[in-house]
Amino acid sequence: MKEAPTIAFPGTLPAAPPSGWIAKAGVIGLLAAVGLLVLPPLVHLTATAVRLETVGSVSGPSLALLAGKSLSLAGLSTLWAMALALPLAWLVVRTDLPFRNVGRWLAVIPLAIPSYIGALTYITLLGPVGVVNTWLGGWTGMPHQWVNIYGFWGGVFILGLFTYPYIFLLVCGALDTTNPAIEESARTLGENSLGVFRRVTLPMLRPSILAGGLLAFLYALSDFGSLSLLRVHVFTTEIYHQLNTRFDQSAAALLSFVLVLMTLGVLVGQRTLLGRRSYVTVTGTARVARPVSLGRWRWPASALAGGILGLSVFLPLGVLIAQAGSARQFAEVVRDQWGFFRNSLWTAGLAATLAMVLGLLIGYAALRARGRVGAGLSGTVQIGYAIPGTVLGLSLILLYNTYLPWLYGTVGVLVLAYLIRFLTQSVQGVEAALGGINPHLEEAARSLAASPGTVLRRILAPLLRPTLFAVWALVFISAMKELDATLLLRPAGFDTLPVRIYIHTVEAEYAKAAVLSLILITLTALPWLVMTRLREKKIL
Amino acid sequence: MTLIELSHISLTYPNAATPALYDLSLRVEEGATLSILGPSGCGKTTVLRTIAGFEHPQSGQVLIAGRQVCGGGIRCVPPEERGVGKVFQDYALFPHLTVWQNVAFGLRREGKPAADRTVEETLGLVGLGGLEDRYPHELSGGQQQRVAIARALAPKPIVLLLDEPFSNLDPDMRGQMREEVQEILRRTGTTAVVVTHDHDEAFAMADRIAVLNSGRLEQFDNPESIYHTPSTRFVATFVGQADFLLGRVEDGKIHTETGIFPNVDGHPPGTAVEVMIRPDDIHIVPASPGGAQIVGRQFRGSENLYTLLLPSGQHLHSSESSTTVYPIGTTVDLRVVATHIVLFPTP
Repeated sequence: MKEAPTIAFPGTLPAAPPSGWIAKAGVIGLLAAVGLLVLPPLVHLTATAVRLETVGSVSGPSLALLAGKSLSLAGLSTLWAMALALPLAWLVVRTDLPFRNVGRWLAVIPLAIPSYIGALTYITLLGPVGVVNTWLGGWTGMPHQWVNIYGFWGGVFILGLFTYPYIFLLVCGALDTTNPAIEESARTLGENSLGVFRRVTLPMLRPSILAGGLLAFLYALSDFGSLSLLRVHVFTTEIYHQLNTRFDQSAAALLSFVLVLMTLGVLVGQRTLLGRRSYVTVTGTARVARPVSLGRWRWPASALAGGILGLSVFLPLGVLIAQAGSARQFAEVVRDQWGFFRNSLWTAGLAATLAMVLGLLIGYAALRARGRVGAGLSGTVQIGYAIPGTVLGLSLILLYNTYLPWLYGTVGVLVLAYLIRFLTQSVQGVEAALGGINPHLEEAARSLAASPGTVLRRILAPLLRPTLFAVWALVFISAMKELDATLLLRPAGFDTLPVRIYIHTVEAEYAKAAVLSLILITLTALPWLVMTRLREKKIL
Repeated sequence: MTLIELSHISLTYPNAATPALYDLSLRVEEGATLSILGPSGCGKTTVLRTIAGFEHPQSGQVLIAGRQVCGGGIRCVPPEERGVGKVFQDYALFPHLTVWQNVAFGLRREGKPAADRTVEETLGLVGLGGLEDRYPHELSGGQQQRVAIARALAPKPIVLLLDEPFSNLDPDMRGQMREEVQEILRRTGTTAVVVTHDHDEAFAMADRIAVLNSGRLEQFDNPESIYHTPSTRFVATFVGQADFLLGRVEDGKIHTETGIFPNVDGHPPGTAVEVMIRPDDIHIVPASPGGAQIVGRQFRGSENLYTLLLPSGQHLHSSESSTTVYPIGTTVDLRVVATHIVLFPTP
């Protein structure tokens, strides 16, 4: 019997050419859609920024000064975050610190407190008319500004305090997975515990510290909410100022353009910094390292950990609860502002649902396409995440004002902005989960005559269900908290919870801001809590 | 000279019901290789970790080169002050350091020129010249293993501890690496303790073998004695194929289905005993009618392992050269040529 000739195209399965062809078209279609979503705002922004007339509106020296200030603020707050995260991570993972499991759990809570709420709590405490100044003024009889959280150093303090969990989580993960045999072999080679930490543990943690530091740095560079409340002049606040106070769109565009360049520079720099070193030390047989006994350092270490958690968790939450006042006041604010809740919930819910569906399709397409097309797909999606919210807001205003005026000023733009910013969370989640599914499952289904579509629907989707739930929750949380782009893009009168919190804080109505903040924190913490509980019970 | 001495070591892990090591005593002579052999979970890695100083036994003493490092009321000497080198099962190379830096790690107390010389020598010894600037993840499994050995040997340790050193290598690499490691140990005159679950590896490498089972020492002897005159039934079956032939003591001899054996242990008349028979002790000759029947054959390359059925229903094994093949069903006569008679009381 002669074998029938088969024609194989590189990258497609010869078993089912027609469906492979459809899949290919699907990939191209998705690539085009994602490209249209993410790239035009940036292209249009660049075009506006490099037009000649804009050069005069912002002077070179003032631009350099602003850049210096933005970068040093981001850098210093990152160092501060590292100083908080490193000792805390080491203490809760590697030592016999009392309550270290609770501590490890609590240390992540600042991620549920958006930095503008963090700023609000410390303004309530340490602002010019804050609790401390009022109390000190009354006590000494001299109304005087004793402490002042406003300004550059306040910004550094707040951002570091609420971004350290990024570093903390990665360092904890690295400490968990480091093979204890590596540290033991350093012991047999003549190093004591301190030497092992300095020469082996710390260098091995460096990639995690750098990766977490990068997240904190980018957060600080792109943050608008807290820095605006703290009256710090950096790129984001200046862009907002140019746009909303001076109505100078071209100056705002130029500033945005420079900020995007700086962000991209940081991302490229990080690639070169890590270079070819790989730090994968995870092995199948790795035992859990035995905890270090703190001995007489037990109580100083507990005080340090307690201090960090106090500043970043207990104090802010305590202030919010104290400010919110009685249950009646609470209920009154809720009744007054019910409409804004609804706005937040349905826009974030819609964005999360769209991101989940798109993420599944893009993740699957990127995996199937592999190689350059796949990388291009997920890379394009990532760009959206790297754009600061303020810049994204401005870009969309410029674009839709010019080309799609009917879309401008609608809720649609808002949802679109959430999608551009947070789609990557969903894509990355799906890609990671798909990567963990044995490819033989898909091959087995294909050999049983299932088309790629059937495989996605009947094999992958059920296996991915927990992941899909998780990415939905993740995008929902992010969109619920989003302030920077929302502030610029919301239709007149369409306020969300973060916008109301921002406005109340600016107007020094701290009690109202506190009530809304507590609700927002609860709403964003709930899905996350449910998720971790389910994961612990192995349901997810 | 005795270089390592463990006496009456007992160790129970926290929250464990049974001890990991129970009243264990071992000695290693200078320049010799000791192999600790046993199934997984028998405590063999714990012995290594006790010598290295990562585990502290609740009782017993550890002496390294005449110095007491554990037990006898003193605080256990920490691993970095014991002068032991260890090669880990998963190599545990420092992922952030190059090959050169990995090997130089333990040489900080030597001056830079001396350390550089040692690194170069050691890398030459393990055949890794030219790979100095690679990072561990850029090396193959065999190369990583060589780096791990070089790193442990560079500070000239009193003893080299190897924990399942070849288990992460492909089978075809294993034999080659084993010979190379033996050659390195011989050339440097290094005393070594090798933990393994593979009896062929232990036989090939060790001067002495300690067989461990459930934290207890079953036998401590040279490889030949371990194979030919195992002291327990466990050792007999763990280090190779063994059959146990039922017999009874009568007129000072042991009478079995296949013949008469001398009563080497002087069991009293009338006792039931078992004679250990290894497949290479039995030869078969086709005969009709024969004393046994071939019921199975495993081809093993240089030999055929036959399963034989005796009239009583008991099975025996015989290994024969693979040049002739007897079909299944053939009736055969047995010729038992046992140079070492090993008797066990019936269970």
